Amino acid sequence: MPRSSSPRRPIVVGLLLIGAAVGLLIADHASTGRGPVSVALSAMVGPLHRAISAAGHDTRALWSHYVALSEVHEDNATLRARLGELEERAASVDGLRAENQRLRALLELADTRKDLRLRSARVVGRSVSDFFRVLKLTLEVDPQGEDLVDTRGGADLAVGMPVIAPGGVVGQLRSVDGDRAEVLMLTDLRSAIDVVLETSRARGVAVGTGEPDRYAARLEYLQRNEATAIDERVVTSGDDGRYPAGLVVGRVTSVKPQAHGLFQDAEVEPFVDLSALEEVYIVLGPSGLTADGSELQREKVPASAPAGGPR
Amino acid sequence: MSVALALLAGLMGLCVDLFVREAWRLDAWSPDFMVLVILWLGTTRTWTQGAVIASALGLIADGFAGSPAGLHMLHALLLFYLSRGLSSRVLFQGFIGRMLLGLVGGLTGLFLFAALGKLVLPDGQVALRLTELVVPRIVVVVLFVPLGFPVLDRLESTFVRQPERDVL
Repeated sequence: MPRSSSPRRPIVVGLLLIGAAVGLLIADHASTGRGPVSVALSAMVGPLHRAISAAGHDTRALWSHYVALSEVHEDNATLRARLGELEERAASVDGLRAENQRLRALLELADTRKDLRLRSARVVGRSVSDFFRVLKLTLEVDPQGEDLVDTRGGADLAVGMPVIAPGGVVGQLRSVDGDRAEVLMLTDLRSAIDVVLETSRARGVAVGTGEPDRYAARLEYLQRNEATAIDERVVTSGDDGRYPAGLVVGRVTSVKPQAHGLFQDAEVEPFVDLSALEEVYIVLGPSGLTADGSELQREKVPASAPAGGPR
Repeated sequence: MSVALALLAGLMGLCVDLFVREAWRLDAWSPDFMVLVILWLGTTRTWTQGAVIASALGLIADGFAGSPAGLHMLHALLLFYLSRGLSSRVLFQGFIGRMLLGLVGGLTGLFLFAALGKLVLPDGQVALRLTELVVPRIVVVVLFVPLGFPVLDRLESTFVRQPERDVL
């Protein structure tokens, strides 16, 4: 251990230093604000202080932005989970919105076709065949009734009843089994609908093409001399006794006269998106009203007129 | 050279202290390098030389701390005398010995500063701050003294030329 050479020297130096320190304290205390020595000291160490503080601040920024990311990872995981939850909820909302639009369209269809007795059904499946185009329905929901759950089952249904959707004709009932039913789509090879072209009034029969990769029907027995236009609407004629007249089937997408014979070939694309159908109406029969809901005007026969007279 | 090194070490200690406080906001747990250097001075320097260096470092610390001039100076001086007086009677060697010095120095230094702080700060604030600081400061000083002393010794042996001695 080093020792001081003179025994008194350390005491003198110590007393001097302590005295200086106490003197500085007293001087600082006595002065208003900061003392001159404090100010001078701050000025002296100021640049170094600022430089180190800046370095410390930068290090802190570096640390918090790049190194101490454990909390960020946790936050990230939490936010991802939250995002997933919200996306799920958003998807659910989107689904509800789409369903709402579909049901609204369905109700609008029912409003515009008050001349028909309609019964709603929900599509629960599609045929998994390369040749047949069949929809599977469940008959639980009836938006027109007061209760959402319809207890009628399939009692009021019969094979052959037309099935429609907001876009137009879907097909006809193929079978009914309790609260289940199957629909033969208009694009099935076995489907044939008596139709008329809306503008040209040309008549024909829409027969499904049965193609697995698209939904289409071809028009048969379309007279060669009929002026058929592309995009012309095709509606049911009502002559087949199965489909009510005036139901939209689709639009003409191609017309080609046959090389020989009396007819021309035309193809119809259904208005209804058969691949995305969720709800449909089964047409039970005429309601006895007009399309807008008013009573049918029966021809009044004067009491004096003879029975069986001209109408 | 020895004085310059000690001053430089003390200044470095202050700078590191400031840097650590700024970078990691450790507050009470920030290692008090100033106390470390002052305690080291007490074990390695003469009364006079150590007192002068401690005073100078205390004055610089006042500049860094923004405290009234003389406060840290007086604190450093008294802490140096404590360390110097203790080490002239007890040999603080080894890890445990230095931890003991750290314990005594840290505790005394803190209460010494609190006592001096009462001169310039309101009583309530000093007591409150003392309560917050006592455990972390003691822990930090007790841990850092045995770790820091060998580093400072090594620095001194590297940069300060030792007087030639005849070895028998």
